[in-house]
Amino acid sequence: MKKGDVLFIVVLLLVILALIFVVVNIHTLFPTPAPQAFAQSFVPQ
Amino acid sequence: MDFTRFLVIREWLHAWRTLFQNKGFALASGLVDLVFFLAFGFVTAPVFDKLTEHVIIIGSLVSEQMRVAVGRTRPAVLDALFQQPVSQYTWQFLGLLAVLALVVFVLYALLQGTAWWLASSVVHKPLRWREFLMGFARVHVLWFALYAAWYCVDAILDLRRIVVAKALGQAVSGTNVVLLAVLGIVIYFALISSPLLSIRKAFALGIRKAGVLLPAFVVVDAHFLAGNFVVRWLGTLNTTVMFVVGTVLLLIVLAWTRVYLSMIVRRVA
Repeated sequence: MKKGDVLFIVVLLLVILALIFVVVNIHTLFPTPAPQAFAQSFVPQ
Repeated sequence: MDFTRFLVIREWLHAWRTLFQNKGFALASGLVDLVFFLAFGFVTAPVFDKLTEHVIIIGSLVSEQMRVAVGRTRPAVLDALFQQPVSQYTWQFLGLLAVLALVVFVLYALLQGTAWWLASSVVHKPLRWREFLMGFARVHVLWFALYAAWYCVDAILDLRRIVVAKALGQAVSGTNVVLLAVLGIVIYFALISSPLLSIRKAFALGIRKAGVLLPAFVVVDAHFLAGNFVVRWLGTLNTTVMFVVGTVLLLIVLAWTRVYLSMIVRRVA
C-alpha cells in the first residue's frame, strides 16, 4: 500500500468521524423549542 | 430477425452473463449497496427528523404571521421566512440541508464510487480504487450540487405549499413536471459520467449518442418496473417474502445496471 493510499484512508476516516459527531449532536447544534413550550407561545396572553 | 445486432440488446445479454459468471463481484456489489442503504438510513434519519421539526415550526410561525396580518398587507412567504422570529429557524433549516448534503455526498461518493469501481473492474481494467473514487467524487460534485439545488427548490415549494395550505385551511396539491424533467436530465448525464469519470465526455456522448443511450435507459427502467411489479405481487402473498425477495432483486438489478451502463458507454465512447 502506497503512502498516498494510507493518507487517503486516514483523511476519509477523519471526515466520516466528523460527520458522525455532527449527526449525533444534531439536537445540540440545531436547537428547537420543546413542542409544549412552542404551542404555549401561540396562546393569547 | 436477429435482435443481437442491436447493441442495446447484445450488451443486455452480455451484462447478465457477466453478472452470473462473476458471482464474487455480484456479492461484493450487493454488499456495498446494502451498506450504502443501511448507512444512509441510520445517518440521515436524525437530520430528516430535525428538518421535519423545523418545517413544522417555520410553517406554524409564518402562517401565524399571515393570520394576524388579516386586514393589513400580508408579507410574501419568502420575505416572512427571513424576518424575526422565523429567520433563526430558516437559517438553521438551511444549515441542516447543508449537513444533509455533506453526509449524503460522502456516503454516496465512498460507497457508490466503490460499487461503480467494482462494475468497471468486471468490464475492463479499471483504475486503482483510490484514483477511481477521487475521479468519481470530482465528477459527482457537479451532479450533486445540481441535485442539492433541485432539492432546495423542491423543499421551498413544499414549505410554501404547507404555509398556503395552513393559511387557506385546505390542502394544496400539485406535482411540478418541470422539476421532475430536470431531475431526469441530471440523472441521465450523471449515470453516463459514472463509468467515464468525465463531465465533458458525458455531455458529448449523452447528446451525440442519445439514439443508443436513451433506449439503454429505457431497458434499465423496464428492469426496475418489472421488479416493482414482482414485489407488489409478492406483497399480496407475504410481507416478509416481499421484503427479502425485493431487497435481493433490487441489489441484483443495481449491480446489473452498473455493468450494463459501463458496457454500453464503453462501446459508444
